[in-house]
Amino acid sequence: MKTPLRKIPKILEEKWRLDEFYNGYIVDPITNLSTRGLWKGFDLGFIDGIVHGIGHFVMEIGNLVRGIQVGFVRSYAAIILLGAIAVLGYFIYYGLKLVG
Amino acid sequence: MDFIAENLLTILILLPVVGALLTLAHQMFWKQESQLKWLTLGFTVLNFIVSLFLFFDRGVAGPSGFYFEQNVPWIKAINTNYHVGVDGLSFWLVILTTFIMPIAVISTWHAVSKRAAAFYVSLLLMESAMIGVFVSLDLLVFYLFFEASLVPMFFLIGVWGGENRIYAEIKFFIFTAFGSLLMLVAIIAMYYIYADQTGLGGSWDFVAILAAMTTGQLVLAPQTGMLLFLAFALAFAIKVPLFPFHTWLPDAHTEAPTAGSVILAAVLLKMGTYGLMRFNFALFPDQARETAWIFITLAIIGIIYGALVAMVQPDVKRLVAYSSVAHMGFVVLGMFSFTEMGMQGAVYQMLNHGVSTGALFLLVGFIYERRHTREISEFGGLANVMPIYATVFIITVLSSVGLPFLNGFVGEFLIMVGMFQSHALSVYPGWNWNYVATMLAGTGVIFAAVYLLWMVQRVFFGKVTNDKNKTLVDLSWREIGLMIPLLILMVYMGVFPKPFLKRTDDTVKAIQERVMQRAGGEIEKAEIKTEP
Repeated sequence: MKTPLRKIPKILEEKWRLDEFYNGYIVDPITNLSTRGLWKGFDLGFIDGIVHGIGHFVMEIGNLVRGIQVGFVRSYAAIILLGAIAVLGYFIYYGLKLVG
Repeated sequence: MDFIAENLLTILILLPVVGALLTLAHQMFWKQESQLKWLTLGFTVLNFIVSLFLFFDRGVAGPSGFYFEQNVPWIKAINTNYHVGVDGLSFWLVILTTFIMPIAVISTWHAVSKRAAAFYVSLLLMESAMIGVFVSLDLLVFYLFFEASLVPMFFLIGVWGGENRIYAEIKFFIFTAFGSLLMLVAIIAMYYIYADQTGLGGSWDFVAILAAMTTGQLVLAPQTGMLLFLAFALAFAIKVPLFPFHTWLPDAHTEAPTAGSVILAAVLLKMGTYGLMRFNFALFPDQARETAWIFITLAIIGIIYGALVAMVQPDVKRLVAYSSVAHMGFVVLGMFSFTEMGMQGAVYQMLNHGVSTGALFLLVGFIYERRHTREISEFGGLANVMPIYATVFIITVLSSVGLPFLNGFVGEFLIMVGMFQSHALSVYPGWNWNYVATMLAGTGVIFAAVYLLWMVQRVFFGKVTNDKNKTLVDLSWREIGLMIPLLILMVYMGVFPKPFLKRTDDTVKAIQERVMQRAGGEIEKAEIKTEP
């Protein structure tokens, strides 16, 4: 008995490559999906994106509105004047329509 | 003794406040920071002992079915009463709170180095607010406690938290405050609707409102009811947290100090599921039935989503936090099955989650105190250097996974059986959706095993690869002592759940009957549907 019966095929040594198959086709896709799609994409990207977006939106509006309130009395007077003209214009327009 | 029995719930709420005041006074006059933890521990243990009176002397249940009821006018002008009482639903949650608090205090024995007085005061006030939430039967008082619980937690995270604590605390606060403010609007609306329809003047009293509803004095228009239901549900869904309102949780948990995480997981999240069951089911049964499919869907998404995301977390604490999302999904699933088993399982699973996840956060805290990191990749082979720690950790993990004879199994089993028999989805044609829901929830259990055991493998087994881990010290007696009551509970609740379930039985049945009651008073029977 000097020679072994036969050399064992490599595929048996590698357990039919089942572990590689599972890792490649099941485990890796799931962990990839979880990391990129669900955790970083959906959780941190989408949901937190909305949450942060609302915060930024409010701050942006604040920034916009802040420009109006400058403490310069003449500019307030100008805004009041514009408002008065707008209201007057509204009544005149519809008043004329009613008459005519 | 009579005094204690008559004022039991008030004592439970006030003792921690007294403790907090004494802690402050002690700090101001003696400036002995090292004694503060003893003082705090004393008060939390005392409160636990007092809470055991709930077992011995149940008092007499009022017509409302609540024990140890107290109803004292508070603000006459708006008809607010200090109305407290405990029933099967809140019974164990109160005891869970008083039980977990001493453990949380001991867990911080050497961890708090700055502003110790403020830390312990926050813990004590937290306990008071949590007990208040579970026992108050006046909607306004409930709301006050619900909000009050935010403040100490805000400071616990923001002052004693990790690196990213400010972001986490603001996120936690805004998320939860947003939901609860809508609930406040709904509570005020209930007050005026009650006044309008009964002609008795407004009321915040849960028992009175419920009575008016069951006798038909108070009938909500379907659309009004739905809006109110949603306002309540949103507040609680954020607290649970139900997918997709969960993103505050991983941040808050990860940044909070160990004691904060333990309290957050063990008790704070239960306020959400408790609220859904107590208020949403009882006050809006029709709407609860109509929207059950939404909650069941979100719960199942939460179970699977939470598990998948937990699986890929590099940080152990964040992993446990995401596992909370999955576990709380189970609780919501059980509740909305509207079967006795499912709802019993949901209540049981609330307790299980408190014990198991609380224990997991403690264990993560132990290793963080030693290594100041929680990255899974930093560890490996810890079982060689810390055998006791590894043993305790693995038992806790198995309980969290739901291994038979440990607590998680009983809860998950009841929830799945309940969902299997559930009628909640049978209005939707096509398949037997209850089977589909149960099956999908079942995959969540498998994923739970995957993410937890995988983490255990990477942290505990193999060779010690990182030199820093070679000199780690195993658990001290303090830490072992901390874990022993939790481990005993895990086994006890897994082997002999009857005493726990028996206490909740009546209340759960009453809630189930209430929620299955159609507008005409006819009760929908929960039967297994055989024909699709």
